[in-house]
Amino acid sequence: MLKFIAYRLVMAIPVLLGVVVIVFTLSYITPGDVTAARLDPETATEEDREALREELGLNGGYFERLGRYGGDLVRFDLGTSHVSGHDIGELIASRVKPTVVIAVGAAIVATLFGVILGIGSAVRPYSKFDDIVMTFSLIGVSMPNFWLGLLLILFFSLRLGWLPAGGYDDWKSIVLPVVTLAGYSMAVLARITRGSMLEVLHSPYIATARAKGASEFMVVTRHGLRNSLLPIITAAGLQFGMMLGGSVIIETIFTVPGLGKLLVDSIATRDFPVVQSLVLVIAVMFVLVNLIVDVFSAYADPRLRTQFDLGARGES
Amino acid sequence: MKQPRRGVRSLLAATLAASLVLGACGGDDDSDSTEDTESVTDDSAEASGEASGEASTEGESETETDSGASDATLVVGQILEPNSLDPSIQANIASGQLVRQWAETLVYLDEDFNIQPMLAESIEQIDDVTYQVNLREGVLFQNGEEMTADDVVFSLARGAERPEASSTLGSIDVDGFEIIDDYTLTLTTLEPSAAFLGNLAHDQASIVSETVATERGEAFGQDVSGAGTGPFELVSWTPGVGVELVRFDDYWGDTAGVATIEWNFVPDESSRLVMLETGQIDVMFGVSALSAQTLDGNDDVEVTVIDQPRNRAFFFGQAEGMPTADVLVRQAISSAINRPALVQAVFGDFANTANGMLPPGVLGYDPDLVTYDYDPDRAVELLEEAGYGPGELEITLTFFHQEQLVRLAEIVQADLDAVGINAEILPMEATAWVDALAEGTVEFGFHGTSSRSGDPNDILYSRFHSENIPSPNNNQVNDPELDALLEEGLVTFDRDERDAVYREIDALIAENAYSLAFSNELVALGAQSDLEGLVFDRTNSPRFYTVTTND
Repeated sequence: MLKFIAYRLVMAIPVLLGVVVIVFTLSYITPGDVTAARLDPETATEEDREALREELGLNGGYFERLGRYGGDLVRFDLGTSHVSGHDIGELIASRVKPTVVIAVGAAIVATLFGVILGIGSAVRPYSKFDDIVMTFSLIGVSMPNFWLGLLLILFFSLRLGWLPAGGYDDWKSIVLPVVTLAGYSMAVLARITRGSMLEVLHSPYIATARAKGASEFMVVTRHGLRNSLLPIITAAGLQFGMMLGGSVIIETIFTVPGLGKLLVDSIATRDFPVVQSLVLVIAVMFVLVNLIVDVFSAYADPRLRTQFDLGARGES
Repeated sequence: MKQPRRGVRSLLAATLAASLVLGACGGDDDSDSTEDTESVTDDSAEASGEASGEASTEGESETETDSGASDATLVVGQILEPNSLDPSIQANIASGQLVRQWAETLVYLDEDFNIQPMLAESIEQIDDVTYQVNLREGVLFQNGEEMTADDVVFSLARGAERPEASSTLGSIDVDGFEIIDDYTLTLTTLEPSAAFLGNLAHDQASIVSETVATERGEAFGQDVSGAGTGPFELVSWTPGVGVELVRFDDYWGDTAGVATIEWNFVPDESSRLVMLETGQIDVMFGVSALSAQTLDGNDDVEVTVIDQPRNRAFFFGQAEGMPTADVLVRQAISSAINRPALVQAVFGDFANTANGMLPPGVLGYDPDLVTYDYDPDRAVELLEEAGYGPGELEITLTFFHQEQLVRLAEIVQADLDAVGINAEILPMEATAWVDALAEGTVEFGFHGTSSRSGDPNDILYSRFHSENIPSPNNNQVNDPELDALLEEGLVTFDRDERDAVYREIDALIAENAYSLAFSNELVALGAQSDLEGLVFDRTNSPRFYTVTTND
């Protein structure tokens, strides 16, 4: 397994290098530069813009600037923001925590409730419970999360006054963002779990298990769920990966200082050093999440384990 | 809806009262300011308490005394995060509003845009380009050191060399400072400028501690603790979250009424609104007409409105080959747009219809200026005269993408369509928009122009002098007569003569339809009703040190 992980990590290097070059190139060819954000357009002259470009080193050619950027990366120096002058490493570090806390919270809520509701639906297909769960999951996947967020704010903050409408201070302030972010994923996971479970529960080996006298609980959890897990893990991993990239909408509505908002703000102000570093960080997180998903999948599915040379260890 | 809200009414009453009082007491000031050279003197011994003094929610702008100081925290919801805390590098209004809380300038602008002393006890103009600054003694920076002439020279010289502050401080001769003693210095401008003293009131001209700024170097933009003389010290900035300011107990003026300000960045207006309604924030920046409507009838919240010196205007690209280079086309478009209806439809009660380029209250404003009444028949005639039949003139209206402005553009499109002009509307993302302006490719658009020093030069020179083509002179006007008048306005120190020059400039712009101003927008601030003494000056900078809270 360690060999597999090491192999995947080594394979991530060309992926990340590709990300660096592509993002840098996109930044380079995108029209506009940071002078628009740094200078007041009502008064700034071309002379002012040129002076600032010179100071920020924006006048060099493609290879010169790519080389400089690559050199800084090799020294683990992400540089400073062209807009605020903040150290980019510190800036990103300060934004990672809120995004990760909310993403992990949302992933737990979504996976737990999504899987439980999906199992419930699959065990009693076409029952009232199934109808209710599927109706709500349809609403969940269809409803834009900014709308859900605003409804939750209106009800829980404005009307009941139980939870703050925004900010990132204590556990109370993350409840609404977590629920809002989890809404869509929970609905997706409920539907996937139901579909996957239904397929498995109609397999002959389930009938065999029942015939051998296994309890319904054992049938559903040990034989049914375990064999349905692969698509669920893959979907949950993807959802989690996307959450880790930060949700701009959630972060804007709830005033959460996360990665998504920083990324969009940096693109808007053409703060490319920040954009490049952020995309790199998000790419690294995606690589790691995919790796974790693969490891989990291997534990869930013995067939995959053989590919990772796990079978030899004889784990069950 | 038509009836101003309680907060608005109290503001209007306060503004009127303040104008009457200032008008009655301001005789001496007025006579000073009409002299050939401009000087600022601190007539009253207790100027400290006046270093703010504009519209207030309570109709009274006096500061609280020490006895009013409490341990309360004021929580503010601001729209934008500053790009830098360094006064000379920050360039947007939100940054300036923050700077006003912890740093101060040599002079400030009162309700009528008269220049009043702040950190300077007086500024005497020695000749056209030389000023002697007599500093207030005993003013401490938040790091405990006394402010001296060295700090003033340091602050102004570094600002003069920054591209961000070039329009404000670029006229200072950085080699022309002379320090006479700790509290006296002379400074010179590269050329005579009647707008210069007003520029010293700009937040970019804030005085910072040389020791602190030098020690921190490039990090000064992120950490300004100890560097200002203001009533609060900015102690921390958490990117994406907010900044924290704490009361500076050794402030030279009256001590601030609250102990701490939590200045949060909440970009989404609906979030700010809910936070204000639930009491999570005490003060909300950027209250739109729609939000104000929601707050109407909420007794816990008051909305304060000020008219800031700002216009929004259509500009006509006048580069060769553009249809708007033809004065008849510009006049036709100007006659085709129903400006009062447009302003009412888009901004409701939160804007007034502008007539000339200069907003009311700014020197040179002419209430009787003749511009363009809505006259579609006249527009059709002018188009025919210019050689365009119905549907023959095609034009692109380009602007910075904002929901409200899209609506504005659609109304203009309909107005133009009614006179046979096919207008395509092209909203652009902020940076692309600035780029397009810098390339001079926009033939018809609209933009806003503010004066953060209340001087007419701020509004007109950058937008209309040929040396600023293509941007910020987006009109690409190249009129030697206009250039000469703009230059004359800059070197005319006599107030009345200067007023006449700017009236002439506004008339010349209207006559040639170089640009068409359409709105003077109001700025609104929402606050909890239990806050007292909230001061919101005409340059759109609330001062929070006069605030006390009853909760």
